[in-house]
Amino acid sequence: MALLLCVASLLLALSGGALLPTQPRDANYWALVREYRSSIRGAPERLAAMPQEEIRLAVDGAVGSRAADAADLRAAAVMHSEAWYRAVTSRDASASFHVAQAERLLDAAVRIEPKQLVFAIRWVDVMMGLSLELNQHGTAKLLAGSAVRLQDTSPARLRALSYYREGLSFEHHAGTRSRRLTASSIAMRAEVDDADIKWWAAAAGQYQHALELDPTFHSAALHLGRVRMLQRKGEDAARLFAQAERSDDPREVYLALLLGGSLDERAGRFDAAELKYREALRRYPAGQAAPLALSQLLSRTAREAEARAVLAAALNPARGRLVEPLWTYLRPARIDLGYLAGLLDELRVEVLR
Amino acid sequence: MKGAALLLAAFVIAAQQQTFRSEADAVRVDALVTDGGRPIAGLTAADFVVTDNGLPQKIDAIAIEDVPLSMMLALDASDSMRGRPFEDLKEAASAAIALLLPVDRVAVLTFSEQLRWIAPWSGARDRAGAAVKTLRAGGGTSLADAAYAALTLRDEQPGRRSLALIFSDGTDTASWLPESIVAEKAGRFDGVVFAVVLGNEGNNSLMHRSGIQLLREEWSSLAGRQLLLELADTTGGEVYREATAARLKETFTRIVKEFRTRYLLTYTPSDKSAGWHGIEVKLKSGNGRIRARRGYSR
Repeated sequence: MALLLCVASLLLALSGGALLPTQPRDANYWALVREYRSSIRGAPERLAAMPQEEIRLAVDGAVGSRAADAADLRAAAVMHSEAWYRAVTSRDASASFHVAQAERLLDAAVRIEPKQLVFAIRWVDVMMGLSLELNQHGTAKLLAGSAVRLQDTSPARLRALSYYREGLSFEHHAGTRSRRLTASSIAMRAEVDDADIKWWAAAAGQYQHALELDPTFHSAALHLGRVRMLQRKGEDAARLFAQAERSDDPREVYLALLLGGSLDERAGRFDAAELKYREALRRYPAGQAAPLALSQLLSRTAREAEARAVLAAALNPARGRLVEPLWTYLRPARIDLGYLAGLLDELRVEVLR
Repeated sequence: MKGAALLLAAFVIAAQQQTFRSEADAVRVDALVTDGGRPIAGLTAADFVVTDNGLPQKIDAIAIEDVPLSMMLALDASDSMRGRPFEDLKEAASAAIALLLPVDRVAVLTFSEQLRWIAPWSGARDRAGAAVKTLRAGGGTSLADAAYAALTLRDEQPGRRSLALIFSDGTDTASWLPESIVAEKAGRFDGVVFAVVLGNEGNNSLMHRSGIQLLREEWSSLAGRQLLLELADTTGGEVYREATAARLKETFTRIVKEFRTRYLLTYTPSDKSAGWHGIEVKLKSGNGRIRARRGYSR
């Protein structure tokens, strides 16, 4: 017995411990992905520091498995997208590696869970836009190829997307032109400039086309709802926000509740508004606009102590960096303001738990 | 005997209710009195005339230096402040904090797109100062949201006078709240708002606003005016425009020093109706310039 133990110890020593049960080699990678899903701190930087071979093995394992979690795959793709952005802006050669991993992960997510196709299309759209802004034409061409592949699987959504993008441009343009509107109100006076009217109408037209082509395009419903609200067509707006609330995308649901709540508040339906703001906060606790909206409503309705408590909790610096869906609402605005990194927040919101 | 006890109890309860009502109803007005730009000292309640909705009021109390101060600093930490201007801002904030007395309290709020309450209310000036030193600039500007937060998160400790000092380099790009709502909040804030603006105020072109008007009535007084001007005007404060960040330290310290020369007048209004109450403060002598809040909302 003693001899057997001796031999076993020798073999163990010679194997460098390889015979012992070990952590799976991809455990670090997936731990990072899960951390990324719950908090916005630091994960993309740590991913950038991880050996590419370790990353490739982890991704190989996931894309080859039918048991992988589609939500984790999606989150990993967004994490690689952030790593890609950092690599591009710091002129690091790893940029193409990260975007390739992101594509592989999203392909796998769609295979496992077909409804992830909607997210994959959004990813391609955001990344193509960002690539062009960053003069990464090689990446843009690669992504254009992905778009062509997706065309076969969701032709209606791809066609609707081009109208949606036009709608975003008009909506952004109308917002920057409208002096009264840009002071946050629909208008300080009842009438709106003729110049304003045509831009809002143009935005509405594009979103309307998008919805006709794809009635499940909740983003188009959300944006058309806001435009209708600004055109003082409250009933249309409420119906469109209700539609957007049925989305699987937490970002769209949050914004629909926030905007729908503000519509109620404007109409003096304070109880209904409060319910919507609270629901927005519950559905996506990592925002800032919903607690602000709720706080000011509580303050207006003489519940100052509650207003203060909601606000103080929202502004606690321990929350870290927030990803507020409102800031991702208008992609052209983000580009105009030069906040290119912020374009990825549109994807980031969707993967946070 | 039982009847007398009941009568006494009723009298005590009524007295307590009266006291409670008068504390809750009291209106405090911070008034700066100057002559040729220099604060006038040594005035008493008898020197002032205060009207509330046009009705003359009896001044219950007047105080000046001996009322502890609660100072909220709301600082713009957006992308446009990067570099030397941000270092100048931090220096200015530190200098303002250093002027506080041991009885005073301070809180610091920063805003880019995101608002952060980096130093909640405390008498620990070194903690607030340390928090300011670690600040970094980056991101958009949620000015209206920050102004709302500065007014809402006022110090709740009683018996203090509130100063909100809001600094921005101007253009709001990310707030959710409409300016009209924030301006309306100022009517319910019994402190004073001072604003310091760096450079020219932008055209306030916004990308992310809710696009709503939450108040049913038109807030026409805001048309063409800037939010900070409205807040300062409503509360009896001032807006300082500086061309360069190098002047911020001088401006911040001037604001704190000047605030201590203001008179705090307290009165119980004869008219307690709900709604807006316009306040006017004058000197009986007619000399001097007075800067005080325009009114309040009940």
